[in-house]
Amino acid sequence: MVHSDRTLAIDARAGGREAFDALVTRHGPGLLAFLRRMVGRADDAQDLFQDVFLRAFKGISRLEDPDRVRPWLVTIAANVARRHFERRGRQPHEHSLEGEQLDAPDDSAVNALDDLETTERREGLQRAIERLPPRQKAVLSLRLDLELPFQEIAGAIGISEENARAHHYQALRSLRRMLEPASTAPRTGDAT
Amino acid sequence: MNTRPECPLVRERLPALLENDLPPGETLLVRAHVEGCEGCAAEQEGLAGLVREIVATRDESGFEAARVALGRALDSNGQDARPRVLSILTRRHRLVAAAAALVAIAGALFLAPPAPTLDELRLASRELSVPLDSLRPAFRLSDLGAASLAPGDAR
Repeated sequence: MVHSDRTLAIDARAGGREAFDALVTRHGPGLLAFLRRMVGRADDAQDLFQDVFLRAFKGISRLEDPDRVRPWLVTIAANVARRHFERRGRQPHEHSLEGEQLDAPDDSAVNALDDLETTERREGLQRAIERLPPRQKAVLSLRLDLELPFQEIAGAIGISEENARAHHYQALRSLRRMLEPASTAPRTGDAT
Repeated sequence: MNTRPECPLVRERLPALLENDLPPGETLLVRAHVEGCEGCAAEQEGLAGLVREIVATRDESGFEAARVALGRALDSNGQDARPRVLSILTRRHRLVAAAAALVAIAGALFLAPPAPTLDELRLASRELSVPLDSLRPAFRLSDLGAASLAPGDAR
């Protein structure tokens, strides 16, 4: 039988360990993916994952609205990630993508190079995401990795829904500029 | 690639268009522009591809290991990690027990018959014709002193 978040939260709030474990199973993968986006390194993400759910376990008795357990967990994760950045004092993996280009593929090893291009492209994407300001990165990940509505994202990280949308769109535009630096940038004033 | 003057404004709205987040009028204008502009159409496709790529690179690998480690941490933290509701109940139980003990002690002190005063004992001594000293254990310590025996007290 599949229990709702509300049922699990009520049970966990009363001390039910199995219910809490069920919440971890349900929401943990998405939150781990979010933390991975935020901090870049898998081992850091796993450490923060522990932190998030230990805090959740200790604090779940204070959860006032069991219907909002998911936004509550997301808020904890966002705060844990924010404190991680504050402790580190900077964004992880900061480096410039200026001038990074892939060499033209050789016909004799197209498949291998396709795989390499895919891997390099993915790594390039992750590096570009890591360069985003924390709030844009958080909104982008919560929208695309966790598929949260903007209203929930806004509540989780303490901004307005309008700002959440603005951060998401700016993040996408920034990533486009970082990953496709010259090919599609519009040059205003060109004759049509 | 040639562009029109409105291209920058259109491209700024492409992420919102992807989310179906533009007002209806703007949606029509942007879509109409994109249909007739190769550059903006390419940018729209590029954005859509970027979103697909971001979704495809969602990385939840290591979740099982993280879940097992979390379980061990919760098990080993035991007393400290239990939900606060249990600590609150235990603390309440302790508070209730302490309050009950205080009530019992207060009851023993204030409900028990008070020890007789020295004057009462002197009166009893005369009426019963027994020495006051024989009634000494009934004295309260605060009533004893060098002048505790008055001249008329029986000895």
